[in-house]
Amino acid sequence: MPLFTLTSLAGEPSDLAQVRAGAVLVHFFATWCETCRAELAALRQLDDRLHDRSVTIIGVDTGEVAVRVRRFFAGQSPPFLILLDGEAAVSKAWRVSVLPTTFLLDKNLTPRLVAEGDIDWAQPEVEETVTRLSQRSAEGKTGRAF
Amino acid sequence: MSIDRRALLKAGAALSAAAALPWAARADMDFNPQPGAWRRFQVVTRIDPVDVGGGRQVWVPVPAINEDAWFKSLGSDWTSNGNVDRARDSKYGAEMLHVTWSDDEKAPFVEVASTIATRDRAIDFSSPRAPVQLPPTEHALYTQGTELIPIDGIVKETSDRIVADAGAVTDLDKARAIYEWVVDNTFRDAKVRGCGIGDIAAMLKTGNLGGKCADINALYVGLTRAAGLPARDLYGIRVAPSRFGYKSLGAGSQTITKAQHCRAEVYLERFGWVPTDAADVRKVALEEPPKNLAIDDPKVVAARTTLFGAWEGNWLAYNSAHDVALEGSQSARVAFLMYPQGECAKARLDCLDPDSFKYTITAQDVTPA
Repeated sequence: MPLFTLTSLAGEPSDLAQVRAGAVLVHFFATWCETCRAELAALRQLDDRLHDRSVTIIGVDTGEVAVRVRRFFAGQSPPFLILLDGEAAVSKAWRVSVLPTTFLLDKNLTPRLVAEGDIDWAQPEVEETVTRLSQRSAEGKTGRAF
Repeated sequence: MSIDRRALLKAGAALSAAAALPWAARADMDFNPQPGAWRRFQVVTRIDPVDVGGGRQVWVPVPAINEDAWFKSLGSDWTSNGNVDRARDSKYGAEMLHVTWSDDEKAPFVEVASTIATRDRAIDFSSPRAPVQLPPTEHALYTQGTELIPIDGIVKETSDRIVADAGAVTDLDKARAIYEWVVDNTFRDAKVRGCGIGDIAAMLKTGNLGGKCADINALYVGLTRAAGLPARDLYGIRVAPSRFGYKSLGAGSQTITKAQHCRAEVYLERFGWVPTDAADVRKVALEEPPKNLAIDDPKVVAARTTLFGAWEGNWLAYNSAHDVALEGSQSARVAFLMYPQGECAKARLDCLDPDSFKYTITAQDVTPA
């Protein structure tokens, strides 16, 4: 997957290669997507549980104007780093065709898993899979998840 | 010109639940738009762009559709303390006013008054003409895919399956089969903001066939194009209540700021451009009092029957454009031009939030007495 730099909600450029400590879940969503909105809360909880396991969650809002996304998150702390892909350029480069879509990249930014559609992040086996795959080396195949 | 609804359903090759309903289910409804007197409307768009930095500019859609049988764009006048240019999309002919202001303008505004004439339209399917094909350039334009309306892959597969399952042979059969399928298989999700983004491949891939007019009618256009039939979305705004008593199919007041609506047409060689609106059938089901009507409710059945082949003339058509470039914009093209668009400090404003943009749109019937 091509690396990218996108602007965060705070207006700062964020480089994918720099913003994560280890493995990363890149989660593509949109505020108009009801399924996505429900999933953000679950991902926030997952982020809390994964806090010490070197898995960074990054949300990428797809195809929306920045002011709309900022209004959506106004009055609440964003669940994790939210980046703005207003023109959907990154989404297209990553071949995202469904919202939400989540990629799990290992610590070398090699894609390990892709999930199209919403996931029940509260499931223990989901968290175990994320933890296990994030700790693998760059060798191995990418698979479709869950 | 009258339309025999019984003959319509007999002639149609689509197989659907509604086609098997007893006639008593719709005996008390009379949703029957017919070409009659023209009505004239004036639509005023007032924009006071939010001041969050320099480089303020807006793009205001103005009516660009002219069809002898049912719609005339009669011109737009404007007042502004900015610089106003008229712009036109070269591919689809969509027209807009592009307004810019100097950074030191304290209270930028523009007010655009557009006048249109419109009337009901209805196709008499019992009286086909000799076949007339679209000119090649138009045929190519209205059978090609767009950014959000691809016609290959899952769209093509779905279209082929619908047509095959219905045993549809003629273009009329195919167009109707796809219409019935879209009505049967989609639902109007009122939680989708604005008119959706019309990404039909994702809709089909996820199986989430919900959405508002831009989604549902874009799905119809995509599936129909994939079947080889010219089809197009028409983007516009409701300007008056429905005269047939449908609260969900008209503007509830003279303030129409959030009354944007798109419709769809399919070109049939023996009938020309045929109006359809599967999205409004589903809107009736969801919103017509007492709301959440069943598919076999008489109001839904009547809408379903009528909205393949007829439209009520209470709606302004702006254009049929997709992937519209906004002259002077710092941002990407817009999927469709049905709302005012704006930018401040090189960032696009939220066209789906008129209160913060900000803009208002009103409509008034100015038909001469």
